[in-house]
Amino acid sequence: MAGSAHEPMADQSADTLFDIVYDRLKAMAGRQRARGGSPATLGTTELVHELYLRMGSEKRFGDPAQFFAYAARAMRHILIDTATRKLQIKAGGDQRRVEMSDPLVGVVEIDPALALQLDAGLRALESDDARAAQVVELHYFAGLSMDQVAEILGTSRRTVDRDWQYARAFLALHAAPS
Amino acid sequence: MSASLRDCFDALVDLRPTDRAHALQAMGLSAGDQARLHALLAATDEAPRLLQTPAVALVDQWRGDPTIAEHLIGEHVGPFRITDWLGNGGSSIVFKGERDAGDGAQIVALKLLQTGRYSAAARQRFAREQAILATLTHPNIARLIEGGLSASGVPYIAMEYVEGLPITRHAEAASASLMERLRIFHTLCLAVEAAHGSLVVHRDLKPSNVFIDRHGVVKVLDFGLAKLLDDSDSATTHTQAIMLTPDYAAPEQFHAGPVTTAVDVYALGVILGELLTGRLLGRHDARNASIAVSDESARAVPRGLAARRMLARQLRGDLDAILATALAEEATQRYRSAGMLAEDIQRFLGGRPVRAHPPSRWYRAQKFVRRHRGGVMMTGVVTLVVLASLVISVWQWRIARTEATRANITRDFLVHLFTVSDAGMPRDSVPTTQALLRDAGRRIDDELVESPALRSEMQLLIGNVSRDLGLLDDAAPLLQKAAQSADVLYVPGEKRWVEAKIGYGTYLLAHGDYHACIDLLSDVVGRTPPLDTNIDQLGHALSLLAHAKSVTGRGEDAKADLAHAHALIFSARGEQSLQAYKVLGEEAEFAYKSADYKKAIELKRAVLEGAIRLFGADHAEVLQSRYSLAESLHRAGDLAEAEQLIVRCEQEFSRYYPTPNELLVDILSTLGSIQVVKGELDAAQKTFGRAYQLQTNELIGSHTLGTTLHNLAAVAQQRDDNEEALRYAEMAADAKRRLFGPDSAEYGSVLRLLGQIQSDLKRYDEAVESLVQSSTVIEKATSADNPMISNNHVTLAKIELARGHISAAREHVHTAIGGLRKAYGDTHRFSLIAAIYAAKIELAGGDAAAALVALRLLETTIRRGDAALKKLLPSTLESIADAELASGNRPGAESAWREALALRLAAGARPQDDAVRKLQEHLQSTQH
Repeated sequence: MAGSAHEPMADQSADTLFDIVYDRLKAMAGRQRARGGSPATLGTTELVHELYLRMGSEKRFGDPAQFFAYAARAMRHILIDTATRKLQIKAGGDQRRVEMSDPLVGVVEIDPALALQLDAGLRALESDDARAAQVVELHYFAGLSMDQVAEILGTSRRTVDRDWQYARAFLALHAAPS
Repeated sequence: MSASLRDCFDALVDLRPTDRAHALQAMGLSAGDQARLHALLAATDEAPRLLQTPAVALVDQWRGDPTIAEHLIGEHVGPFRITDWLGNGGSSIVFKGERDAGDGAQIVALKLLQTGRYSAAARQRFAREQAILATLTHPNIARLIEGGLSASGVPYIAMEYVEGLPITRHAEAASASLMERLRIFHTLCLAVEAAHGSLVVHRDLKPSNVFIDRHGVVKVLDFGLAKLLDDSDSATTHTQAIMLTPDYAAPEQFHAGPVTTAVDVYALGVILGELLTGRLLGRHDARNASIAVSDESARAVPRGLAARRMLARQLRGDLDAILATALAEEATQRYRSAGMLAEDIQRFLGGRPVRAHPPSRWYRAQKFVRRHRGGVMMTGVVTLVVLASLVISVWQWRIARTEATRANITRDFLVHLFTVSDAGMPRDSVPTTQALLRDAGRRIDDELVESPALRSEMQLLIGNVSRDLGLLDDAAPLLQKAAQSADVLYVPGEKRWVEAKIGYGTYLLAHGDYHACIDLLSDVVGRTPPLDTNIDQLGHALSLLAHAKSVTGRGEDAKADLAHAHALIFSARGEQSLQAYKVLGEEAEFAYKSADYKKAIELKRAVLEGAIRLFGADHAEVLQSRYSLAESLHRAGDLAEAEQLIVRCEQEFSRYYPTPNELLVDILSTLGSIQVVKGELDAAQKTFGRAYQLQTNELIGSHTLGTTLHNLAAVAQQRDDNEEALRYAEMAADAKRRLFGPDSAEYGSVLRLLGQIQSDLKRYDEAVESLVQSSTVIEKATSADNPMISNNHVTLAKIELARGHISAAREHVHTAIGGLRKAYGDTHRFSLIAAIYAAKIELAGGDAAAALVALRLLETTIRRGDAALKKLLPSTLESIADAELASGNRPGAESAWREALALRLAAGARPQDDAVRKLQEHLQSTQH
């Protein structure tokens, strides 16, 4: 299915395309402010769609599905890279907040190590249930709605919901200390 | 397989939780799959935290925004001008700032707090905290210069600006050695301790807050800032979030537990671990530094430290223990203070034993004490002492031998012992210390069958503890078995072999089996070559041997053994060492036994000091040393200090020991003796009676029974109840000859008393025989200078005088006076008694004038003396009366008689007493 066909690292041109998406997204992130979407994708949806409007029409992308696959993967890398850099402590920057009793980001700082944990969990999920992992990428990292995800993956909304539910349980379990 | 799990998940996820169990059962999955599925279903309620927050928002947050900071350069905050951006903290931006300060610019680190607007209450709290921090001045703590609100209402803090490197990077850059790293760390600990003394907790210690400045001075940054920021935060935001640095934060900080100085101790532990291994110990890594550092796959060891293997060896033992204690999960298990951590580092640097101990065992011991609070109440300090000694011994073995497996078995055995004792036990029958030890002794045979060496060690351990608590019957079989199995398990002369023999030897000594003890220890000493590994044990064996020998009258042999032990130990271990303390104790005891009281007192004062220094003021060892000093003071005639010390011993006894033991008997004996000298004969009789009662009930077979009988005889003698005195004295002589041998000083001394009593009963021939034998025995057991021999001469002179042998009497009395003056000085009561006799003899020899002059002089001395000395007055006055009468001065004699009679009656003499009757007869005869 779609999974392996959209693997961005597969060939040189895809690599280049990925780099472009990555750079653009990175540059745009930070200027983005919450203006809609679900709590989990607030901001991300705006950002990725804005980029799609700019780049999606370009001939380089075979179809929207491929673009969003790139975008999701790029967003995932951006998150990991930012988190890693944040974890590379510089003076005074190593103090962090834990506990996230307040969902409003910006007030409560979130431990960047959680991003690395999520990444590892996703990799495990990819080999356990590849489609569920794709749902996470497209919904969370590319900010697509569940209907859009279903459309891109060519499956039912119900299946996508079920995948999302399974993925969340899988990742939560993966994050929990064994 | 995973697909099928996923299918099962889908089938189950919509069911109600109650129906899930049945459906899951029906699927026929393996136990592992079932468990996994169960966990997955349970996890559907909790989405991973990150998935609740948009990815873009996270990127936004983590990326930070330095541009804002750059805009502020050149701005003024309070009196400071921002000159540079130094970095972003969790809730503050740090700038370099400066202000004009007379002879140049003052440079500060300026922290702007990103906390939004301040409420009035928060502002007050900020000011208060800031005032406290401003008082914190220490050369190793970066000073808070001032704080306040900027013109735009942003709170700021100006701190001393430190240029240098964080402690870990400094150590790396300087290629600091292990010792250098420890010394820097020691300074850090003292700085933290000083702040704690001002009631300021750092809460966020980490290498980036500990700088070494350009002059090599340690500077701790941001002291107390965490609290200041936290307080202000809580007023402006509504989150429960806590600021911390996860790698260095103590476990309780994650759970919003109480923030105490213990969190700084934990952070110091992490920093120390990082300095010594280059790794973050604690949460992320094995707590054991030596294991962490030997891991080949881990990053390279820090520069300046030894190679991996060598470093692991250096860390193993003390430093591992120090780290484990600092990094203990539970705050209460850590070092109580940064100062104690510093002290242990200092001890390590000085090559002395550290106080750290593996927390798990302490924890268990504490838990045990908590569980057995009822039982512990009864025995109080003792249980703690027992537990402490067990735990410490076990741990020392582990350190000494690094045989982890065995140490673990030992520990498990002890833990098991305490745990099982607890199981299902009714509240009112929690075990006493004694019951626990007995139980332990019994279980050794059953539970440690497979490990003879360990069984032997546990027998020795439990046996030693039982013996030291005075539970001799419990100790005997354990120590005997341990001593026997040592011959099979170890090479003779080896440390553990000697230890096992000493355990039993000490028991024999405590039990009074002196000859068996001497045989055993002579054999041990003969077969033990002095080596660095066994020198302590050899010294100990020699001391014990000397002790046993001196008790049985082999003074010269004992002296030689002690000198040998002294030479070995003082040169090998130094004079402040525990081992030297023990040798000193034996030497003091020997001086005491040889009646060299001056030297004994001097040595015993040193021993008491040593006991307090080595064991702390609340230790049974201190009680024993104090008693021992009191005993010598008493013998030397310093009654006031002796009594003060001995009363304290008696009052405090039950704090240290659960049941009466020999020491209590000794204390009572000395107290009684002091009461005798003070003339409190009723009290003395009661005191000795208590001791006798103990020895005929609780402490049957006590080797000091002879001494108690001796004392009872002496009191009866003083009360002029000579028949009873004779009865006790004969029992005492019998007991002492049996217990100490016919050549012992003890026996010599009881013969002396017997002779005096026989003399009082006018059984002169028996008395002379007893006294001559006494002097012979005493001289042989101690020395010819022993003042007891002089006192015997006094009694002999008295006898010869009564028999009319003037020249023999004169010879005895002059020998006595010479010896007594040498031993005690001219005005001691023993010297004066002898002088009174000398005068009496002169009077009997016909020289009344000389006798009178001598007696009047003595009278003056006695009247000026203390209560003990004044007791001599009646008999002196009686002699004066005799002399006056012989000189023809009847009124002089009468007035002396009258005063003597009044004094005797006032002192409690009864009308039927010989002395009283005689005086009354004299006075009546003059009236006719």
